[in-house]
Amino acid sequence: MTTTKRILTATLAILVMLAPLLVRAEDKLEQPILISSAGQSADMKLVGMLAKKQELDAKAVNMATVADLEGIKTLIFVPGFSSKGLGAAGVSQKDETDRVAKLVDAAKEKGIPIVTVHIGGMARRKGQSDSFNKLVAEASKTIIIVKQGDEDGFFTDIAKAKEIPLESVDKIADVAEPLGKLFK
Amino acid sequence: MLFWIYIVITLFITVVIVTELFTEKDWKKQIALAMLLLPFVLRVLLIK
Amino acid sequence: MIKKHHITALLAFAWAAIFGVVASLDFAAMHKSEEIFPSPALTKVGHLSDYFEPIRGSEGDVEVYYFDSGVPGGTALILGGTHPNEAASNIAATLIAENIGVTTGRVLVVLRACNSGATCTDPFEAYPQFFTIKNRNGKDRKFRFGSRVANPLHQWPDPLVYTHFPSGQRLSGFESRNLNRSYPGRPDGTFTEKIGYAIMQMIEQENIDISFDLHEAAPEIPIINAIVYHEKGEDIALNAVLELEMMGLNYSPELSPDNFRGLSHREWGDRSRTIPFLMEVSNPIQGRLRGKTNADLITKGVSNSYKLALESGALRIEYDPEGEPLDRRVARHVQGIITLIEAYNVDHKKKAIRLVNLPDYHDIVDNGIGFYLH
Repeated sequence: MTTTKRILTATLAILVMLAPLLVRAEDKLEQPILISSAGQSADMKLVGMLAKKQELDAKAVNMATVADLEGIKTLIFVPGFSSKGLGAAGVSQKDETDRVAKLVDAAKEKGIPIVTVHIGGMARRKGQSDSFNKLVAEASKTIIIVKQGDEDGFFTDIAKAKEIPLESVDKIADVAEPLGKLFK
Repeated sequence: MLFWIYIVITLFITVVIVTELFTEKDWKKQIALAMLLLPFVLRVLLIK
Repeated sequence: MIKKHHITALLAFAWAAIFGVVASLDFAAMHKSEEIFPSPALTKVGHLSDYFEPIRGSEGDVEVYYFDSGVPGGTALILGGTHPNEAASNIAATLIAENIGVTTGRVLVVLRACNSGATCTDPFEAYPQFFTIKNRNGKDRKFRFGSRVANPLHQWPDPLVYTHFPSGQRLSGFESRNLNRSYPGRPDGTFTEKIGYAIMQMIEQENIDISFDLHEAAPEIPIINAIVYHEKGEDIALNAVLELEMMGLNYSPELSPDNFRGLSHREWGDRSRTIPFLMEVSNPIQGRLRGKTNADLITKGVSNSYKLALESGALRIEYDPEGEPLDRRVARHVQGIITLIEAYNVDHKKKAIRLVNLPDYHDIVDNGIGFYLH
């Protein structure tokens, strides 16, 4: 084998070994990030805080609209219904559903990947929360949840049906790491 | 002012019930009147 | 000669009188305040009327317990008993008043913010008037279980529609007696508005830095196990929620809506320097599905009806099949206060408030509330 062939073979071998890493790199989500609530719970603020700790280029806008997607590379939804939050925002549940649905459609149209981060546990499940949870989770590229909110397998079922990767953690603070990894 | 009008009305009904209690001849109705009297007296005395 | 029907009338009258006296004694018992044994850290006992003289001597006037460390720092207010049918509120404030130590700053505690509401029960609810907790010596401590709102004997009649002052927000007439819809109150207003005004005066005159209004709610209310915060306390609330979660306690952060007026978490924050927090825990006796309504339901929090609904799969809310005991509800409040104050201290070093001797969540759940009552 000539030296040239050896170099070529070695390069090829390295490339084959690195291939999965290169593919994974392509999978990484991009910044800047827009974080929005879906249901107006203050959980969104907590996710904003965790993103800040991970030094992500993210802005949290409670009532984000299609206009806020300008220049955005990833959209994170933090779903969960809050009557107080809706009251604070001065909107009805229907208004909020319409806003979120429009944002989901616009993100899809612009090719902006959506990530669902559900941290509210059972307090942000069932009742009026699940319509928001379903709406955003089904449209997501990745789902991160705090385990307690998936005791009945609600998110696991959606993830399986739609073949969406799902990361489940024990505590809210534990969300920071998988959240950061999505971008780094 | 409305409070005192309420008290006067309650007092008036109390007097009417007591009068009825002593003019009524059927003992069963007298017991019913006595029961009826209770909340009015408690109201007039501002106990409940 | 006495007629026969006059004799029966007298007998019926006597019968009514006996029942009237018995009932009166029962009702009157609710006007007697519970005995309290403040911790050695107590430095002064004042009254709400010290801040608004016209309520002095009324059933709206209550004691304010001052725990002053003498070391410069901030001031915290812990308000229990806003809604006297929310037992964990008054009991948490009592437990704090009987155990607290303060090493920096000072703490003011009010046990019965709406004392008038503690003198009666809500009509048509079949609520017990009292419940007991065994203290650490095995002696029964008796507490009143009152009404959500002020006693109609002290404020009557209710308007058809209650118009909040000064916002003009309209609510049902019943809410005119609700202290937590009355803030900021007014000096020439209704009985409840005067109490609300006195509390606002206390917050302003005492320069309260951080304040807590303790509540309970029916399991079906969406804001149970929550910390409701004013926007100026957002960082404190969120950091505390994370910290509490690390301890295994879930609290939902809820931002106070600025268009829902008259509530402590809105008006206190808007109209004074204080950073207010309102905390809610789940109390089955307030729920529509509660079933048998007695003192055990207050203290043990076990409702077979909620359990049955949970087992049937029809329940769409959170309910612990083991119940929601008062020990745990009080423990959540006490731990919530401790953690929120710690989160506040991080960014308010010169106005810090440092507490000692208070049991934490696990202490209270493990030992029971009674262990910390004297």
